[in-house]
Amino acid sequence: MAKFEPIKGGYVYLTVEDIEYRVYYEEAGQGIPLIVGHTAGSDGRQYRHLLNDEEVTSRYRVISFDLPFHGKSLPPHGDKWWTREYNMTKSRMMAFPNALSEALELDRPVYMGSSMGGHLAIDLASNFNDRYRATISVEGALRSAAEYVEVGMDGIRREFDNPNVSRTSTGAAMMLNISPYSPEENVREIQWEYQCGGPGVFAGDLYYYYYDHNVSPEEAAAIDTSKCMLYFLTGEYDPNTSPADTKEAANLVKGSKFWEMPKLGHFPVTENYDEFRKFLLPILEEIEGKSA
Amino acid sequence: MRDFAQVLQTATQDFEFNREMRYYTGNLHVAIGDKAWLAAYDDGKFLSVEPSGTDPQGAAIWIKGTEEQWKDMTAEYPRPFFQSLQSSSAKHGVLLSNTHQLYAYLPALNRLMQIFRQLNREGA
Repeated sequence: MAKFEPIKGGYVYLTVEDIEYRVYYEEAGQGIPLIVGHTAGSDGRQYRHLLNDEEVTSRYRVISFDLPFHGKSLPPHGDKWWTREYNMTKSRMMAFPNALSEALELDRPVYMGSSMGGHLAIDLASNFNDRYRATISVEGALRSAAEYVEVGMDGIRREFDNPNVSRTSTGAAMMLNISPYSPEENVREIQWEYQCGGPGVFAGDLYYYYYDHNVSPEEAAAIDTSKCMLYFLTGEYDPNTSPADTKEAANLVKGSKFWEMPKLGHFPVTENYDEFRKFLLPILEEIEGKSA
Repeated sequence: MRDFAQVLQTATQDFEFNREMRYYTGNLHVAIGDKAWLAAYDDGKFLSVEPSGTDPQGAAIWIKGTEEQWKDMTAEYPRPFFQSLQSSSAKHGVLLSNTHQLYAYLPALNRLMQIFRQLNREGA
């Protein structure tokens, strides 16, 4: 007997900043909509374990999407994208889940993202609290760690967008973010996903991750968690946004909740989903309770 | 601290390490405290490894750390953020060459560190 997963995929056309994009998304389950956003340079495959988690999908309609230039979302037709450097910006990062939510006619979805998606969860809670009932920032912070920010875009492109260096090395570099406790087959899967990325896309995504996402203490303090609850989850082994970095943000956002996840790294959703879900399920239960 | 030449000799028997070193021509220099080793490769083929001074001597790929840093990096479960060469460099001051070759051969270096940990675990 053949084995199937409950995940269904499709394409939706989204117009962002006057450019029409053909965007791939996958979904499973029914109930409260939960949009999930992937990390820089990767794609929605990171959420395959979550999409197969019946304890979640019995209550939530989980929607994972590939940002344009990532995964199965090709660069846009009708736009000469090859004539300029790819860089992801904060406005565009926020626009894609907003456009997806509108296109799928979702009613105040929950947004959860990891890494740059985790940063985005904060930006959405700050700028679009009328559109989301809650956001979950996985590995997010006010800004990324200074040691990496100080490298600058030239240094980032030297490592991650360099003709002398293959995509294999981008996957290898992700070891810096991964917990030594994570099962090796999951580590290799994360690396594989990074090795599959488009040229220059990971480096360009880091423009948002390291520079365009930069939340001031005043902005963080102004986030209204009574309109859009903000949850923070950060792995012990994440050097880019350490638990201390996330805690700094959580302390500023009144009413937010923060958990440090021991023995997990920067990719907890894929590194070790069984451990990650122990933190996620109570959050989803709380959101469900408030939504009743 | 372990003799790095032994780690490299073990690595030459490893499929993944050999695959990831393919086409490398040049030197690999590793300094652990006041001890160091210089290895030579030609088109991916391991030629030699010898004790060396702690200066990288122009090697395109070099790693330099104190004995304490190496102990942390090669622990079975390193403490945060000694889990990789690059996080050890950014967060704990381990020094790495900033060259195309270091980035290009990072998959091989990751595997080398795994082998180092494995030898420690086995007490070999």
